[in-house]
Amino acid sequence: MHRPDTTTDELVIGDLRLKSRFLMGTAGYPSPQVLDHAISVSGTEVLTMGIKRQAANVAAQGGESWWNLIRASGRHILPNTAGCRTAQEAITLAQMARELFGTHWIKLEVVGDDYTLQPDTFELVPAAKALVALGFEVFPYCTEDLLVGQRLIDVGCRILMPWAAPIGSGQGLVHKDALIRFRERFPDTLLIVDAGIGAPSHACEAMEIGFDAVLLNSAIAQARDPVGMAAAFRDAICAGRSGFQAGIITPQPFATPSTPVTGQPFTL
Amino acid sequence: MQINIFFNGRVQTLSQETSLADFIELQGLAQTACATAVNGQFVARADRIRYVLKPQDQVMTFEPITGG
Repeated sequence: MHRPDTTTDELVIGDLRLKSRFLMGTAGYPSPQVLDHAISVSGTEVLTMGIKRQAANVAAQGGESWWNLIRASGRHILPNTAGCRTAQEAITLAQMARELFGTHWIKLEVVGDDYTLQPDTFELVPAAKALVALGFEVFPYCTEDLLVGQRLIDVGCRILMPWAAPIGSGQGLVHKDALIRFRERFPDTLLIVDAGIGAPSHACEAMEIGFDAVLLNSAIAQARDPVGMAAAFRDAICAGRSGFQAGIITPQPFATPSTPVTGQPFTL
Repeated sequence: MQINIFFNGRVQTLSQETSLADFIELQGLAQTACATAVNGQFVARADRIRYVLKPQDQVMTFEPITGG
C-alpha cells in the first residue's frame, strides 16, 4: 500500500520527530510476548504506561517483567495519571512519573465520572497549568468541548487529546462533527484522538479529518489476535493520513457523472 | 525511641530515627525502582535522605505498570 513519506511527514512533539502517528497503550495484553510482538508490528514509537501504588508486601509485586520489556523496546514512554480524581492527585502522580520514567511527557488524566470515565475538565485545566509551570509537556485527555480546548491552550498545552468515545468502549468517533470543529478551531495545535477507538476504520476516520495521531489500547489488547490488529491499525492510520494529505472530496447530495460521455450512448 | 508509621497502608514500627531513603532500603527496594510520597506529597529521590520519618507518617511507594 502507499504510505505517507515519513521523511517529510513527521509527527513533531517538542524537539522530537517521529515517523509513526500511532501511539499505543500497553495494558491488558495476554502476555508480555504478545505485547512485544504487537509493538514491533505496529511501528509505534510511543508507548503509554501507568503508575500504581505498591502493596504493603512489596516483595510480592510482579510488574517488573512488563516494564523491563517495554523499556527494552526503546520506545518513548508517555506515562499517564490514570486513576486520579483531582488536580492535586494528578500533579503528584505526574512528578512521580517524571522520576520513574525519566521523561517530562505526561498524559494528563483526571476522571470525573465512574460510568463514562469522562475527563473532569474543571480539574484538568488547573492541573495542566501547574504541570506546564513545572516543565512538563502535557498531553491532556479531554472532551471535544471547544472552550475546554481553548482553556488548555491558554495555560500552555501544545497538544490536545479529545476522546472519540468513552475509554475502552470501542464506539469510534461518536461526535465526529465536533471533532471536525475541534480540528478547524485549533489548526496549530497537535491533536491526538484518545480513547473509544474500536476498529481500524475509526482510526482511519480520525486521520482523514486531519487529526495528527491516534492513541489506543483496548482495541488491540483485547482483539482475538492483538498482533494482527496492531498491523491493521498501523495500516489504517497510514491510509487515513494519506487520504487527508491527498485531499478528500467534499460530499454532495447529488450525482456527478464520472465517465466523460456526451449525452446518452444510443440517443442521437 | 519507637514510632509507628504507615507503609502502603500497613503499620510499621521504627525503633530508631530513620530517613525515607533508609526506610526504602529496609523494605528491600532499590531507590530507583519506586517513586515515593509521604502524606500525599511527592518526595523526590534526591530528597529522601533528608526526610526523617515522623510518627503517623503515611509512606507510599509507586511503581510502573502497563497503561493506556
